[in-house]
Amino acid sequence: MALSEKESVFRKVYEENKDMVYRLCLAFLSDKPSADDLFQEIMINIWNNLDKFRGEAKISTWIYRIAVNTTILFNKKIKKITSREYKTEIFQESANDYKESVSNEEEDKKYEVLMKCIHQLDKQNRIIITLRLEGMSYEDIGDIVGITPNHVGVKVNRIKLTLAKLIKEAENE
Amino acid sequence: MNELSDYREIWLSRKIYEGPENFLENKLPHLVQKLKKLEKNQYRINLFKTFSVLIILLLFGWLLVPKIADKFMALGLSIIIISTTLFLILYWRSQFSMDKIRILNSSIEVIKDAVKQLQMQKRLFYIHFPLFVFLMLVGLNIIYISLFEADTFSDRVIYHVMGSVFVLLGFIVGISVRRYRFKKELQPVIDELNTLLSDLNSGTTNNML
Repeated sequence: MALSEKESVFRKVYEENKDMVYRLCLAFLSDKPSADDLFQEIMINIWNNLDKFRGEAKISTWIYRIAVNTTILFNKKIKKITSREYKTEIFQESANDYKESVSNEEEDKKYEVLMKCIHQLDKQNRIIITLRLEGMSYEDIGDIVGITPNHVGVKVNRIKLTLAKLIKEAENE
Repeated sequence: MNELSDYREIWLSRKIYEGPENFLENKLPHLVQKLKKLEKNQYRINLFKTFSVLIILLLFGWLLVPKIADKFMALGLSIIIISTTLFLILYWRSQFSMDKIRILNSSIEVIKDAVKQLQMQKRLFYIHFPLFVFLMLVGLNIIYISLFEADTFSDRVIYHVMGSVFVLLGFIVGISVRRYRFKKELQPVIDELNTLLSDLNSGTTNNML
């Protein structure tokens, strides 16, 4: 893929998927600077793998695959031993411009409670519930994670129960 | 909460980059420029590494080979150079790099891949490095046979012992630091990835709070 073509594909992918990717980052990391850092890492991996997109899968599933796998491997200790250090500043400047849309107060509260409870889940459950909240099917989630759709279904049901319990507790606080 | 629809709506309604400082309008072109530059730089770095290795090999051949005095020195030097080259190749290959991970595979495959790469560093310092130091010792002592041929027996013994002790001390310090770092930095990451892998593979979740 020529560089100019790559650039235009990246812009399109970025525009269409930035919110989805950033929501995933915020679900995984409660502090914003780390979420920004993860977002930047995902965008670098998307850029680096754009040539490999063949169109067999939906672009959103493809992006999510990169986002989830980058999130799994996103670790400060790993970062320390990779040669990626020189790339870390790329998105920093822009990260400060992130703004979440302001909805109404009740929704904001609900969102905060949801996020707080998601942060209490373990990593695998956070991955699965985030994908589910994005509206992905069990098949797509299974494809991304590498487990069967039935297995995803079992996990989603368990996570729902856990999350419901956590939300109830949080709302009663 | 049995259905996620209410929360999905809230979840999906969260948008970012809104407001007057539109990220796409103002920042993306700048970022794309940087990413493109990064890609070109990576290509240059790889080219530089390849040329550096070629130049070192050529210099070695041109400067050192004509000065080799006898077969002992030639043998010793060959052992040192071959073992150093092999160790360096193994060292470079073992370096963890996100670029080596097949990020487009399923998460389970990616985790397995990452653990394998991290374990390679352990193998390098527990197996390859001791072997490399042993070969260095052998090579060094073979060179000494030729280098100190004219000295007395006791002097030669001292040179052999001193040279060997020096290499061994370097080995002990090097291996201790590496093993400590592995235990402190990499082992927890490997453990975390293995836990995630077993959680994903298991039919149950352990998060029933």
